[in-house]
Amino acid sequence: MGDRPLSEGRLIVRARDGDQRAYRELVEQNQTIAFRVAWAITGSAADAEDAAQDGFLKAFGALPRFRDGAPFRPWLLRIVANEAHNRRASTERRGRLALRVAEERRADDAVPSPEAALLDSERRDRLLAAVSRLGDRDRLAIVCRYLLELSEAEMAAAMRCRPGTVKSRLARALAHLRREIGETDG
Amino acid sequence: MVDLERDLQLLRRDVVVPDTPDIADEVARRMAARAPAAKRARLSPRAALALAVLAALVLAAGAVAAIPDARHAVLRALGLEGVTVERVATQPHAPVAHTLRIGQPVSLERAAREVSFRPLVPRAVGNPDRVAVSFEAAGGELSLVYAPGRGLPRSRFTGVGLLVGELRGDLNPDLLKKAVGPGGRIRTLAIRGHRAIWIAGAPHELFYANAHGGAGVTKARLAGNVLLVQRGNVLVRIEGEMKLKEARRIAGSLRPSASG
Repeated sequence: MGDRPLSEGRLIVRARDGDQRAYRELVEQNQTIAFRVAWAITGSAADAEDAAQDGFLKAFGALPRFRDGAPFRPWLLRIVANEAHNRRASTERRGRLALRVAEERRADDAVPSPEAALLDSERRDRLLAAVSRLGDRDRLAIVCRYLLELSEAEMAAAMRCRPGTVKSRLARALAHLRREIGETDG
Repeated sequence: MVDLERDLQLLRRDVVVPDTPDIADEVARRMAARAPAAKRARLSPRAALALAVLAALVLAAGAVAAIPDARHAVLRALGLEGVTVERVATQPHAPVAHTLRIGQPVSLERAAREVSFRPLVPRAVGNPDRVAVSFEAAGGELSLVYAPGRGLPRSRFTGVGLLVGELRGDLNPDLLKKAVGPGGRIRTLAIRGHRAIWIAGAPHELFYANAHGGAGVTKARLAGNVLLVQRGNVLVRIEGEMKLKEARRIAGSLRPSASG
C-alpha cells in the first residue's frame, strides 16, 4: 500500500477496483461506528456484529455505485443500518437496547465533581430509565445524537430517513423524553 | 428543562457501549471465501485479463473439479465455516439419494466420545430416533435422524422427518458445497446471535468435496429446505420439509448433549 497512508478517496477508488487490502483499511476505519450504530438498532452485540459484517460485505459489492466525492460514512452507515433494521425485524429476540452505566463511574459517584461535570447518580438513573422506556424510533434518535454523536447525515442513515427530517425527529424524541422523566418545557 | 440536552451529553461518559469486535478480520475472511465470484464483477480490465489467463491455466491442469457440473455458472457465494453456498445459473439435477449415507449407527453417548466436538441436540424435537457417525470429515460428522411424524413430514430427499448434521467447520472449511439454482431462495440471518443461512424453495445440490484433500466429489445429492447454523466451530445442518419458522425453532433449541 506504500509508506504514506492513503486518503479515504484513494482507498475507495482502489477498493472499487477490487483491492481487498484497501477495503480492509476502510473497514478498520469505520468498524467501530458501524458496529455501534448496528448495536443501537438491534440492541444486541451479536446481532450488531453480524449486521456490520454483512453491511461491509454488501457495501463492497455496491462500491461501483458509490458517487465520487460523496461522504463515505453516511453511505456506508445506511447499508449497515439497513442490515441491522432487517435483522431486528426478522430475529426472534426483539430485546430493547439495554443501556448500562459503567461500574467504574459508579465508584466515582462518591467524589463530588467540582464543575458538576458528572451527572449525579439519581438523575442519571432517571434519565437512563426514561430513555429505555422510549419507543424504538425516539430512543434511536437520542442514542445516535447524544451517545454516538452522529452528524445529521449519519443520523439520517441510521434512522432510514431523509436528512431534512432528522431535526424534527430529534425534537419529537426530546419532547417524549421530557414527558417520560416528568418534566416539561418552560 | 433546558439542561436535558446537556445531561444527555454527560450521560455519554457513563453509558457502557460494547467493545467493537474485530470486524475487519472476519470481513476479509468472508471476502476471500467468496472472491472467485465477487472478483469477476469488480476487477479492472487488466486484472480481469490476468485472472482469465490464470483460470485457463488452472482449468487446463484439471485442478478444478470440486463440483461435478462445471456448467453451473457461480453467480454469488456465501459461506459459513465448513460450507459454501453458491447461487448458480441453472437448476441442479443431482440424483435423489435412495439411502442416506451417513455412516455407522451408534448411540448418542458413543457418538459424543468419537467426534471431536460436543454434539448439539435440538430439544424442540427431543432425542433422535437414530444416530450415526462417519469420519469422512476431519473430526467426524454426526447425523441425528428423526422419523417422520410428530409434525415432521417425510422429506422427498432424505426419506426421514428431520436430519440434523454436525461437523467441525473449522477443520473442514471447504468440505460442503451447496449449489442453489434460480428457483431456490437464500437468506442470511442470525439465530440467537449465531450466523445462519436458510435455503428453501426449489431443491438444491449438496456436494461433499473429497475429504482426503484431492479434487473430486465423494457424495452429491439433491436436498430440500435446510438451515445452516454456525455454532462456534460446529456447523449444524437442519434439513427437512419445513418452513423457516419451524427450522428456527429447532435451531434455537440446540443444546449441548448431556452425554458430551
